[in-house]
Amino acid sequence: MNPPDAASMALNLEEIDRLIHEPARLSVMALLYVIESADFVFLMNQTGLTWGNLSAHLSKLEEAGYIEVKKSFKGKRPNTELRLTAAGLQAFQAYRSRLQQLLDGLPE
Amino acid sequence: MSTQLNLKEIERKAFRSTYQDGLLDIRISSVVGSMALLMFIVVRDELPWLYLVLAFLGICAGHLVFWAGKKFVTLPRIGQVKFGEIRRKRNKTLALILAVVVLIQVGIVLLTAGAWAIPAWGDKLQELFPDRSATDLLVAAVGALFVGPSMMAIAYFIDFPRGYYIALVMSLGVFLMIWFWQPLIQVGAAFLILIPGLVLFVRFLRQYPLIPAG
Repeated sequence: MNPPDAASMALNLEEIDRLIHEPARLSVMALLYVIESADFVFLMNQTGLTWGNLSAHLSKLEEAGYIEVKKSFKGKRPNTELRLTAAGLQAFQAYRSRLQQLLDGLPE
Repeated sequence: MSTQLNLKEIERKAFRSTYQDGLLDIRISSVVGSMALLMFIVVRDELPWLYLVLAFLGICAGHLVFWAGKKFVTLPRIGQVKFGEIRRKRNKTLALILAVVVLIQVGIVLLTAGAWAIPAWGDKLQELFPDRSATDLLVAAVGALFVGPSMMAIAYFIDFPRGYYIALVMSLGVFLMIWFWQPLIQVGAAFLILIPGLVLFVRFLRQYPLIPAG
């Protein structure tokens, strides 16, 4: 395979979803992609993010329509359940395939 | 924070995190210990009801510790998660395999009862194994072969690596308990399962402090 020129590389990079590409959000999206749903505490433990940091990233993903946030009470404790929306699922799959294409195009 | 994008590994890590509290080990150890108490009924011909009640209470206590521990200790610390279709399929397959094992065990119990009720059957079995120790060996081997592979199937299908160690300890415990006619061996096996469970539980409490509700 020939190495890609700088112009096509830049074009491919533009196609990468930057909202997902940020490491913390990528970690959240990847986790929600492989499970059905999780609460806030579980995501925090698995990603290693702090409460505030995770909350900020989740807000961005929710605004983009990638995740669905359901707030409820389990006994007396508030519970926030999160899952990927259909749009989030599609966006993550597209991100994966584009990133894969981009990396496959790189020379050894 | 890990940035490696290995989706299978992420899912496996998330799934295995639900077992790091050691509560399943504690629950299994209560079942193994209760098996030893049931054996005491056979070995010691006194107060059978006491051992029966103790075995029942032991199993109940194990289940209670597991349920309460998950609800009040584990979930508030590591959070709640629902896994996808693949995990549910694996659980269904496991349930099917265990159902087949239980059916075979029921078959063996019925055959044994038949041999007891119909002396001719028992005589035929005795002809096969005239030496009592050979009969014990057979019973011990059959017991171990049921317990070990069943636990291994559980370990495989619920992705619980410590389950293989538990399977080995359980099957050895059952085999030696029947072979030497000594329930204390199974009590030892229960402790060998309980101790790592308790260590993991303490480590879990240290690693995951309670997160205040927010």
